[in-house]
Amino acid sequence: MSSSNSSSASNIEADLFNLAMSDAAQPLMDAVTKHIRDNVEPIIEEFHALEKEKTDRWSWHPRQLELLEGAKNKAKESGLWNFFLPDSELGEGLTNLDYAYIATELGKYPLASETLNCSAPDTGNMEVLERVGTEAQKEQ
Amino acid sequence: MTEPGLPSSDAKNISTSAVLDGDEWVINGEKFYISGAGDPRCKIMITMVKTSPDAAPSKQQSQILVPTDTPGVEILEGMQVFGHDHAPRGHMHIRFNNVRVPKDNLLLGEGRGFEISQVRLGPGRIHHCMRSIGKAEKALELMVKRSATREAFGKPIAKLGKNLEVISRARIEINGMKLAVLQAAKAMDVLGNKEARVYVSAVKAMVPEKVCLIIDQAIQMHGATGISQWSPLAQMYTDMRHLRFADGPDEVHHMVVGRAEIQRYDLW
Repeated sequence: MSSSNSSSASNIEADLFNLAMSDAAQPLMDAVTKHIRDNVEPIIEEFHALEKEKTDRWSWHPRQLELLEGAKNKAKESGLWNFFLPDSELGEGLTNLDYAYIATELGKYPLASETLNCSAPDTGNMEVLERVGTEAQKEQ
Repeated sequence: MTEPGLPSSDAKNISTSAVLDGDEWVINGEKFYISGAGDPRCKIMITMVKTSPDAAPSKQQSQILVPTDTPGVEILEGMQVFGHDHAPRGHMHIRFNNVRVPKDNLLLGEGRGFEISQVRLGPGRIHHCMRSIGKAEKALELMVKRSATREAFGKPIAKLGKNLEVISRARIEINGMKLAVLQAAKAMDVLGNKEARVYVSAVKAMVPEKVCLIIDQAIQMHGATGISQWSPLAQMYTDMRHLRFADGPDEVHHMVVGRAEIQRYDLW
């Protein structure tokens, strides 16, 4: 290995230990925490209680969808959408590292990921379409 | 991806077939544990199919878009996770009976299904691990609040037996796991998804297993309430246990990490 290669390899090795959230992501993290407090935590109890009132197990109670859509719309209005897509025009262009901090917070609250369009398995599927889909496939 | 008839952890096994007939692919086969497919809002699926049985083993599969309302898509039932079907999202058992979709629904190209998986599964896996760290934090918070505020045998439960050490170990392990997950995310940023795969497999092999244990210990400190409908812990446990299979069982990820470790010494 040439010396320049080994020095760039050791730079990468060192970079792998730079694990701080970027300054740019901090306001977003604060906005997500606020979104969870204002728009997610208040709906969790009612959302789950509605499970008992459903007539068909394999559908949503209309009020459940209303609660979810309400929280999603508030997220969109605050510019919180699609964090998971790194370096994409559609999402926030967050790095995986910055998203890691945010997703850890989302994991603590049921429904939080979904209100930001960040739930599994949807994120992976959307990323596939974004990266390899044709325009017609994305449209579908 | 996952099929009931063969071990889908080795994705080269996947055998739901897609055969070109004029301008359409004709799909036949069976899948299970297709998460989210029970949701009435789910309108389209990305399906792993075998299009090229005569190609090299890693070039036989492709990924294809199948709208859920295509004739022949038969959703049989919701698979259960420890007795829960997670309706309406569900983990569905689906049969494809001569399902016809346009030729252009194939993603990227014939035989390129594995290539797409390298894009698809890295991020998905690490997202699971990130959220799991959050769940572990939640479980530890519940463990502490419960065990420090209820007394039995004249002491707070946290001081009985080795409970304080259980709390300590949970904190120590969460701190370690969090750093490993952050580093795997960083590896994806600086090395790319493909080169970062050993880092990602390492955390996917470690995190769900260890978080399961932490949730289990939180349950134990709650007494019977921990396994009941009064606590979120029971649901958290089954979700986390399920995650030891989702996006590849632990063993497949250990295979990736173990092989990479042996390759460092050039012995095989």
